[in-house]
Amino acid sequence: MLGTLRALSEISGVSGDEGRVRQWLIQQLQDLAPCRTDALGNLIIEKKGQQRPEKKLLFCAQMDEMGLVIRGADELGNLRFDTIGKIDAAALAGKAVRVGEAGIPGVIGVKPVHLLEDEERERFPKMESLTIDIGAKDEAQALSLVHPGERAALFGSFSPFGEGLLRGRALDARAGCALLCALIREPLPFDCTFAFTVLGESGGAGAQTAAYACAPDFAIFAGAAAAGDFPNVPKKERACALRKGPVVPFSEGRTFYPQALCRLAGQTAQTLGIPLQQQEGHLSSAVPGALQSAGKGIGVLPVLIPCRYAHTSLPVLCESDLENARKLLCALAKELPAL
Amino acid sequence: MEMKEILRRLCEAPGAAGEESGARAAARQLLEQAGCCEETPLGSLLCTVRTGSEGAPRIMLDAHLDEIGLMVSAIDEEGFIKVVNCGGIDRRLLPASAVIIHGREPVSASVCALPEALAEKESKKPGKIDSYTLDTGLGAARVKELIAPGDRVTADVPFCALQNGLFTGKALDNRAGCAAIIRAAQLLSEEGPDCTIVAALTSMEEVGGVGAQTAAYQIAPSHAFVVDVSFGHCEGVPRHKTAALGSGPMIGMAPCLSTRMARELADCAGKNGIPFSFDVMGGRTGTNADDIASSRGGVRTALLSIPQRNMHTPVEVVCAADVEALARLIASYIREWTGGTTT
Repeated sequence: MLGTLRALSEISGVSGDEGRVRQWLIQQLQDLAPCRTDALGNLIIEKKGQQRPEKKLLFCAQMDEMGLVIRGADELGNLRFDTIGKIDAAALAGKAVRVGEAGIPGVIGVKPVHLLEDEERERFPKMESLTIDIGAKDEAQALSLVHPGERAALFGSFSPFGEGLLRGRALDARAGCALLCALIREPLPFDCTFAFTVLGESGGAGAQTAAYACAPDFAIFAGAAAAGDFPNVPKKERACALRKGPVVPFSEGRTFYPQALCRLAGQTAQTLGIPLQQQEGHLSSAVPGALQSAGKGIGVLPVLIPCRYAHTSLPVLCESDLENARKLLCALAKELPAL
Repeated sequence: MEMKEILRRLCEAPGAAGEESGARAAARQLLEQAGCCEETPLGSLLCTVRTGSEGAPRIMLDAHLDEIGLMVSAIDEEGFIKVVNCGGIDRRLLPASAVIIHGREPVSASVCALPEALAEKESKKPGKIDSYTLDTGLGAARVKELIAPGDRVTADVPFCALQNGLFTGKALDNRAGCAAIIRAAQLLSEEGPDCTIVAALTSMEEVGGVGAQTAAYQIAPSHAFVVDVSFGHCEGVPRHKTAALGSGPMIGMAPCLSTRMARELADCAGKNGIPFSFDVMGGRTGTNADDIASSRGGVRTALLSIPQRNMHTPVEVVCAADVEALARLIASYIREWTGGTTT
């Protein structure tokens, strides 16, 4: 799974520009099961199991990551952008990016600290003051290299981190993809459908349409949950923690998950002897809600990897949490269609 | 060696103020071809490029070697690390940035950032340096084995080429200046007039300039050329206070600087087809020039700057051609200055 995570972390695929991620997944998985791309760009894989289930099960993970979309350039040659997905200006300022199909290196610069007014020094830079510097000398040169509409993604390297952890860009977005890949590589007891979806960071339209087309009885969303187990987070806000197993939330904002599914996850984890964090969710993904409301409505169970510093260039997650989530998902692939 | 390679080697080496050993080793490797190197008690690197006859001018070529960073102040019971700043860092850029803690061995760490759902609730203020925490992903026991208060922390970002011969990385303030001095030393070691030239890559500029002050005392120069970075064009800053990247060195004009040297440098640049602009400062320059000019009985000092964007961030940007041009300007000026050259 480490190799899969590394590859998925290093590919950039901001919402609406998931092609490279999809291409990589197809390359990896096409020999294991037939792969199909739908109208919006979702990758749908039907994997045969030992038998046909009574209840149809869909596994879903998002391919896209949050990032930037280029609007144009200014007279200094800096690229102007909008954000896609939830990103703080504080997570962008002073960071390296890669722009467009060609992956042109750029940086998000700021006015030097020496030249700030007192008032500017004591607040984070405003999003509209941030631009991408690719070294272009003027507007014309910038626009000859990058077209409006092209995406820019935060840049970072993937590496093992600390003790038993992994740090890499987009791991929060794509940990679910790695889990689904692991599942597809295993022999399955029942036929299952896997959807690697687009547009998760911009409303969840990919998950919604994939779920509509597939019309499953149940859907499991594999993704990440924001862990708060570090000193800056007040104790009562800490939510989930690394190293304590996958997270199965009861609810997330206005999305409430069927209690029967949450209980089944709890019992399954107990039987397997793996830790599980069941609590109110602190996830910011639109995907579970989109799955739930697809078609005539679908029972959704999220299985999430706790992740520190989600939606920055340096998300951190734990290998043992991933392995435990993989085991839980394998077991649920057997339990759920029989529910 | 290509300027890109010199810049890369210097920038990738760590050297937060007061603990410049990594950068010093990288610089020494490059400088040794130009002359004999020694270290001062405070960690500056001095290289004697030429030795002139008695009474000949004694020239100091200075660039500060240190970079801004952080310093470990405490380790908590879970192994999270508190820091203080080491030079004028921009706290606004710390959340979710990658750093290296230079403990018993280099340790990768991230500056903790609040989940964005919480960040919305918390006041959107950068907070004092006390409010920042480093996460190594290691348990407390391992952290305490590897890391101790006082260890320096530097930004962990790759050196990278942008368009038009521009480069980005950490510590280009002032490794770009060091690169210019190293290049000038190489040029002057090959050919120069009868004078003593000492290249000084000095410590602790970002925390007050005591490295240059003491190096100047030791060298006892008659003239000094100080190289640092200055502000490149930037949105929200009046254009007349900045220079475009690629427009050549900025020749400093300030009360403590020698006006005559500045004018002669401009003439020399014009004569040799080297592009330049003037950087006029009221009061102090905020560089090593302030301390060097007032060393011993006074030193005639020129300040030459490399235009830089995003100063004091992990994504500083300079143009390699400006660094080359600055080195060429210093070498040309010193060669032409005494009216004749001896090799």
